[in-house]
Amino acid sequence: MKRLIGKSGRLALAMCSALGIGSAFVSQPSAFAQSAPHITLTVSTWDSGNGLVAYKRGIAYFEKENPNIKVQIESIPWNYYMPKILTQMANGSAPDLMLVGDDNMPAFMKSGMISSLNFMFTPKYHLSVNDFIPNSFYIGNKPGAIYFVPKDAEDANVIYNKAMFKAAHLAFPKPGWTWQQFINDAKRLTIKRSGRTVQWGALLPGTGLRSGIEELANEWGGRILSANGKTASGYLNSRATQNAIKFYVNMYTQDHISPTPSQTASFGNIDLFMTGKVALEPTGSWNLEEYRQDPHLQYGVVPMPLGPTHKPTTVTWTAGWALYSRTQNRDAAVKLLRFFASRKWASINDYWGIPVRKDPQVDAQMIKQDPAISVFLQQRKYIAPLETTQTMNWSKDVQPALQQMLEQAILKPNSNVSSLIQQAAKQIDSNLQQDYTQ
Amino acid sequence: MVMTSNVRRSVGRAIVYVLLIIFSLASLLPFYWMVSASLKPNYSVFSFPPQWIPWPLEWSNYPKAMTFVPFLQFFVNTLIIVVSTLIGSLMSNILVGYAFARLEARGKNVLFYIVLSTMMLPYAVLMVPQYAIFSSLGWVNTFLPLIVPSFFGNAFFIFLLRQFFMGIPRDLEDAAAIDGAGLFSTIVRIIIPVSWPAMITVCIFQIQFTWNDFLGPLIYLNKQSMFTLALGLNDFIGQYTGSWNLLMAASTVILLPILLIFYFGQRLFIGGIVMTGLKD
Amino acid sequence: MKGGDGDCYYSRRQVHMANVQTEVMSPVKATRRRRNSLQAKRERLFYILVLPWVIGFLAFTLGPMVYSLYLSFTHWDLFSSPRFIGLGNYAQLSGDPLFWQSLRVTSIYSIVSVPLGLIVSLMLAILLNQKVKGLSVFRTILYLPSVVSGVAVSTVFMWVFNPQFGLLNALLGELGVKGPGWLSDPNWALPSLILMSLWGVGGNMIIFLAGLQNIPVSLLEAASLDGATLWRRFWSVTIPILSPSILFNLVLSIINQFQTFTQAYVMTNGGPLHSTLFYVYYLFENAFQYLNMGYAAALGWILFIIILVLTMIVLATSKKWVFYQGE
Repeated sequence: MKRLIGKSGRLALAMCSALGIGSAFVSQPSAFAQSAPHITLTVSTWDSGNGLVAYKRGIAYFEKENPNIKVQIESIPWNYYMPKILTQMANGSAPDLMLVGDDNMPAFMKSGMISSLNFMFTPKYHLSVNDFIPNSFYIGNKPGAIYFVPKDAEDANVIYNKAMFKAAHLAFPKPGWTWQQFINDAKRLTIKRSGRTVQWGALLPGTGLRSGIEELANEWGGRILSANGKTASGYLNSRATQNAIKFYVNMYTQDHISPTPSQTASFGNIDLFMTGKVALEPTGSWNLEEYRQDPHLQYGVVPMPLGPTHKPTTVTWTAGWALYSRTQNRDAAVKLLRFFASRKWASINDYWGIPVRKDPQVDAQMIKQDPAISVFLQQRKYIAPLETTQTMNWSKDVQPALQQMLEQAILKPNSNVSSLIQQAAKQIDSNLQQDYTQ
Repeated sequence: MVMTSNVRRSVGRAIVYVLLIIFSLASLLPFYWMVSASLKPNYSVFSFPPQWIPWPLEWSNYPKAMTFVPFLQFFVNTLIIVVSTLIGSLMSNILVGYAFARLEARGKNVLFYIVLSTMMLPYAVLMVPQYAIFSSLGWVNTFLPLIVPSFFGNAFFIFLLRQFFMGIPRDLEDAAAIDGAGLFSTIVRIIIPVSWPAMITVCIFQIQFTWNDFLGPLIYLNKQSMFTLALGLNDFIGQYTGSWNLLMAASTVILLPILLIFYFGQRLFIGGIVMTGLKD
Repeated sequence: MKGGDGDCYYSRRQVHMANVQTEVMSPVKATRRRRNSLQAKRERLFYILVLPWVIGFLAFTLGPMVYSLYLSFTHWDLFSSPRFIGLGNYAQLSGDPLFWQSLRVTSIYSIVSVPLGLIVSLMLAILLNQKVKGLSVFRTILYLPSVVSGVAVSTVFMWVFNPQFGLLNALLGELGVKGPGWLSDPNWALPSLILMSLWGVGGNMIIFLAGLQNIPVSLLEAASLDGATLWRRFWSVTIPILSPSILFNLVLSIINQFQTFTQAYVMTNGGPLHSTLFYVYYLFENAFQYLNMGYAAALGWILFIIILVLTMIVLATSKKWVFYQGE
């Protein structure tokens, strides 16, 4: 196979140089050669728009500090990020530093394609794990095995529309509120006109698991998988988790406070909170940037409601940079990684997500921009470990089965949720078993 | 007799207009939304129910969109690829298409099936091994993987041209053959002139394919300075947020060249055969 | 010369479309006897002309195709080396309900949208071939939807189809009909996407329009002088002369519709309740989300065979209904 490709490849090369277009468009590969004064590093990201602008600002600073290093940002649209990175990895030509989302962290670690970063978190590099918010740092990383320099870690909180609360003569939600209060408020905020819902009390994440049943399982004191990530039976179908799932499903099927997943999908890219269609939304801080620019939108942020355990807890969405083990520019790449872990980066970057570094100065800077962000900063201390990163291939073994279960339960209100849960647990176990025995 | 025929013709014509207008309205819907979104502030792009007539008009979105990304650079890159693939495509596909339409040889039919079969495997399973080839040639992060293949013909155009060429009466070429004209001059002097609509169609499609191609540039281009318009537009949107108004402004701008090319290209279709009644 | 060449071509055509094997066996022998030096020269010319394509195929396409076939017999997570598992993926396919569901969804979609798209694009092409004022503008407008960017199209259709506030249900409401949930209803999601596919017929339309230019005006005039009705002229003149374009659009529509992907990826994520789980979407998920490239390759090759068989059937029947003026 290899020989075939090589041969036909050379043939093609000969053909096109014969056509006289060969050399015209080949950019100089010598940029990578030792003779060149520069080292060119590549670093991938799915950031775009203003996020990318902030990224470039930080990189520009790094390049000024390190005149012999040029950084080439490989920006990839987020929904094609994994296909491109995987294509490059399969061919041994991935970027020197890669941004990896939490879902994919275990697969990257297991692949042996990324280097351990333990050596960086030592006095030699003036870096310590204590510089970071504990749980959000260890997500993806495990004690004793660090593979990712975390970029940011969003926690889940509830964003609410103040005008709608005023119009319904409701008091704004307060920290320490419960899910029952959430439902009560949401019911009063749901408005129907001639049989059609024109305003929903809440926008629940549907089959989006993170702030949905993953969050609720934590709040109900249950789990989805065992701690070693190898089995669902006994966890997904434990009483606590079952109750959490049923509570979640009931918010759709009994309380009717949220558009169903397919109703939400039928709005496409439309942000239902911003367009004034929902009053409460448990989510991350991503969209606050947009909301700030809308003069008509008054919003507040409150921590997630408490479940029966009455323990505050929140899930997180996180991403981190990994070092490609086949990089040709290890030293320079480590330098850039060290920069990504620095206070300087955080302050230049005008922070784009919820920072993982403990840094009161950056926090203050962010709160000055938007006081509502302070809830996201405070709640970081309640971030729970992510189950997603504790099993080998969540997105294949666990996620589809859970989503199918939820879709069935929500769209077919008469379905037996318990048996759907049992079915999903069985399915997940068989998936996991297949993956762990291979 | 004359009256009825006249009446019938006017009725026929009226029906044609009515249908054209209905279909045009339906066609314009996405385009209208796109343009109106490009003239709104971002927060009201998705207001629901949609605000069909934006007010006030935010014309500043256009200069903003063109400076938010290196628009000119993207445009030049796209142009280089479009022109090169167009040349490559015309050079190769006309010859191959002609061969399949007019010449006889053993294995031709099997070969024709092989040509068609290259369109039948989803790109997602070809992507990784194809990347290996271009990567081993050192072509990643150059325009070559996007340009060079067009010089070797493409199943879509080969099939299209074969169909058109087979529809040309043979008498024309046979006359030429008796004159002793060579094959290449037959193609250049006879086949191409009589198949203008087909040539225009190939050009329109090739330009549009390259102009809108997303996956190819996505996989093979890493540096932003080498991005094409279709790929570069993604800088406007992210996973959770996006400058939709700017995206729509940029999309509108990059649509115009294609529309102009189409507008002038289709005028070369001779057109205008009257189906509704007798010729005047 | 002309007759000989035509005969030879015709006899081959009759056989090859139906059966490649017979093509290799008997007619070759038959033609060999009849071949003269001109034919030999033409045969050589054929090989010279198709050589660029053959080289390109060997260089860029054959390798990846063969490699993907090999991958379909392996387990590959794209990180480590592929591990040979024989027919494992294919065996797993037969017991995978989502494979069957995606096949069902894609087949229904294709079976409806292919003929529908052909009819609508043919109708539009004929409309756009009339002598009317502003023809160029109408042509450009009707071509527009096939060039408008994907995001604009998917977003506007979210509005068209939205059950609460959408255009379609507002119109139906005016007529006193309570519209369905469209994309949010498992029973209506696929029909909605079929309806939406009609906005993409611009490409087919252009090909028909170009094909219509091949109709000699004299032929239509002769037919109308004969007193043939509009309908008869359509069937006895327009359709036969357009038949090469119809064949092209039919084959390409089959190839493309069976590989529908974007609508599911951008708009529905295969839902609700897997009602829009398109085959290639499922394949893509397996390849790049489940990191199961071997399984994706197996899915790809099953689809390849389905499309190939359908194409062969269409081409085999085409000799009965496709008329080439060049024969």
